[in-house]
Amino acid sequence: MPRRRMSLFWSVVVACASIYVFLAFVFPYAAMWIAGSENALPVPAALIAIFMALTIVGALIHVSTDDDRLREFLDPVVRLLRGWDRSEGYSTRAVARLAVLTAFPLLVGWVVYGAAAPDTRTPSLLRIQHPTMPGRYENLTNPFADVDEATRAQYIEEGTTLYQVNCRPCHGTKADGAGPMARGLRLKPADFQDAGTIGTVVESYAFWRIKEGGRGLPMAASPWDSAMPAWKDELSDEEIWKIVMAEYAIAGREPRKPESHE
Amino acid sequence: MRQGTSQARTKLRAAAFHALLILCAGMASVCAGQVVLDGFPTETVAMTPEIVEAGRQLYTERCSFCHGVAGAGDGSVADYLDPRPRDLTSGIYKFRTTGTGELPMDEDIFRVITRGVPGTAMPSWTEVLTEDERWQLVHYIKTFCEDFEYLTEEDYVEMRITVGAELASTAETVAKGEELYRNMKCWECHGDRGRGDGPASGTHTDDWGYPIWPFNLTQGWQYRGGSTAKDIYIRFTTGISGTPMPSYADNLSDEERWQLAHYIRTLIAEEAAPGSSVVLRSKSLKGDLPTDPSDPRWETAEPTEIALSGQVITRPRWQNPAIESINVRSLYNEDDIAFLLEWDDRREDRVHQVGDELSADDVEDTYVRLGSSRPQEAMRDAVALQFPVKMPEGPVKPHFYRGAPGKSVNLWMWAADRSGDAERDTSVEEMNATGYVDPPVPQPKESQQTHGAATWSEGKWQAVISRTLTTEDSAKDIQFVPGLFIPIAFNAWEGSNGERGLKMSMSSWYSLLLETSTPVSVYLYSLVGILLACGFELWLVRRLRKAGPA
Repeated sequence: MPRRRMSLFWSVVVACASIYVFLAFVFPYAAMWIAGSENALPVPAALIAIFMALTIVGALIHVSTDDDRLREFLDPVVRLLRGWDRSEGYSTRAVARLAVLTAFPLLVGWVVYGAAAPDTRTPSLLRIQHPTMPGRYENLTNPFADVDEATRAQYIEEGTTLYQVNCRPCHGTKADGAGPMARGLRLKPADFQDAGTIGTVVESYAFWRIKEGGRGLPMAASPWDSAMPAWKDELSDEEIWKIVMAEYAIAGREPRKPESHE
Repeated sequence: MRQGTSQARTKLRAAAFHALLILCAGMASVCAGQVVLDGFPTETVAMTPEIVEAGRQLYTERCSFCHGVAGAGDGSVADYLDPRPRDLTSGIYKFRTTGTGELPMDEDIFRVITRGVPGTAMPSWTEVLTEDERWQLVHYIKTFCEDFEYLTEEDYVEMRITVGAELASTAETVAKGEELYRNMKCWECHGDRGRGDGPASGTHTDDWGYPIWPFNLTQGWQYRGGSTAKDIYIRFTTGISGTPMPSYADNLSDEERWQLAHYIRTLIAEEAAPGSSVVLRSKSLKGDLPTDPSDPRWETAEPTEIALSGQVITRPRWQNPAIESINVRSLYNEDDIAFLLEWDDRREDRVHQVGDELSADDVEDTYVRLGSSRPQEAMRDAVALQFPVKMPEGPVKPHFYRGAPGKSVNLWMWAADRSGDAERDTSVEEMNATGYVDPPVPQPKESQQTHGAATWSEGKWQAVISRTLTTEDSAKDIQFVPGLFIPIAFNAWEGSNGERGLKMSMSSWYSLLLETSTPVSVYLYSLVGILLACGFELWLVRRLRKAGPA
């Protein structure tokens, strides 16, 4: 039995549709499985748009490489637009043609409305969570890194006292970002127990954030939304280093090790 | 065959009898016996020296900073907290399932560690400490107070309260409860509407001599010992040791305590969770805007619950703010915009004997340290709205805490001590700030264009603040344009809580939107789009028909 080949037009449509389905629905779950994440990891809309544009351009190049192929590709479109013989009566084809011809102007109208109507969606808080730290902090090292165990424990205790007095109101006794003041802040205090906060940065980064606070953030990190004080006004560098050590200890996290240059 | 069936039947009967026995025992223990609450342990762990030692280590690591190394409630943090951390040496425990004045059950201590104390600095330890670790703490904490050593098994059985069968909440029980609320004079402290504003409010101290306010029963998220009817019933039964709240076990019957509990439940305001909506929608209105808080037209505007925290960014950092929520509505017409702000406040403070300069005590430490008495000078209640002076281009805004140098904010501050004069309503003052370092600068008299009217009743302020949409003074005033998201933030002061200047409650930026109907031009554009598309189709079809065979 001879296999019927799908027409060029429909194979292009099917190819584009399957790539979209893959990007929008299959990939997030595949990525979730590979990364061992708890949630699906959706592909950003901008990326999907780029991939789809590439797909469509590729398909157009493919169909337009020679005249015959282009004609074969356009044939169903041309036939649809041109219409069929009246003698066929109101066939399904005629209905489909009418539907396409009606849908196109409506689609255009909808797009124009969407672009022109006032936007009443809630403005989003877009911000970079971990902006690059200034160079002068990059090479700082914890002056208490190489002390013996007993001294270290003592520094952590001193740091914990400082933490509980100064940081606890927002970041919480347990360093979970849920202190009594957190309820009234829209930009929530960082949850240090979370794997994505202090566990992903080097100690000097935490030192920078405490010392310079919200005021020291670059514009991309929306400093105007941060309630983090610049603790350099209040605490000595040594006190801040002790707080950094205590913060990791309370949250049960390890700082990222700085990369070394050979 | 027959014998077998009868045997099976006997067995079945026996089993049914046993099941019934167990059920009855279970019912008895639930109905009139031991109390079981959420947060109770799944099993009891007995004390051993090893458990106490493990508890000591955990306590030093996790609890000592507030409760003190020796449990006296005097850790490094204690002086900053209101209410203060529990003094564990005293044997006075607030939240118990034992009779008035008694020591707590182990389960009660376990429960407080497990679920924390809402509305205070005590968090829930469920995620951080296992059940075994919490038991270690229970047994270690008990060593701080030697009274526990003398308790026998029988004492525990005797001091534990029994809970009668829960009464259903019906219109009738609630009405009975309301009657009890009046007759038992609950209102003397807690106020007619339960906002902690009764005539005796502000006169109490706890057993340690610190000032204490009657609880605001309408704030559901603040119930220290839990907000179910059962929790509230238990408070009436046990009282709250160390505070002026007595036990009513001897004055009210079991049934009456349930009725009162069900009435208290009805006082809890249906909260739109603060912060659930970040857009305050100002509704367009034809005609004059309401100037009175009780105007029924406010009902047509959608309320937004604004969450506030203490000002903790610079000295005087303040972590015991009295006002944690403001309910805001807004209406506007062609010329003006008006806001209705409503917030709970136990006392009406209309006198201001001091300036907004803070005393040295308030700025001595990184956070305001609490004194052991109430503020001596009278301070006023106040509230302020904050807008950027210039509409931000792109996402960049002034800082939500009083703006920043070069990024000025416009403040409209209403204060309870200012009475309006005949020429101009002066209860609201327009000011500008470019950061927190210098105090906000009031605008000159001729630039003051905001109006305000406020009333205090039953523990609640209602303030209406209004201005024209636009002003001549665009260098200092926000200009309201419908359809744009305008940043808006709030500050609040409760005088009786010693709040003034930067010792205040504040919110982050929210968005104000003056709602607009879709302009006609949008529909026109869409129509033009549709017509153009039809024309294109027509042209294409005709061209194709002409070009090739049908």
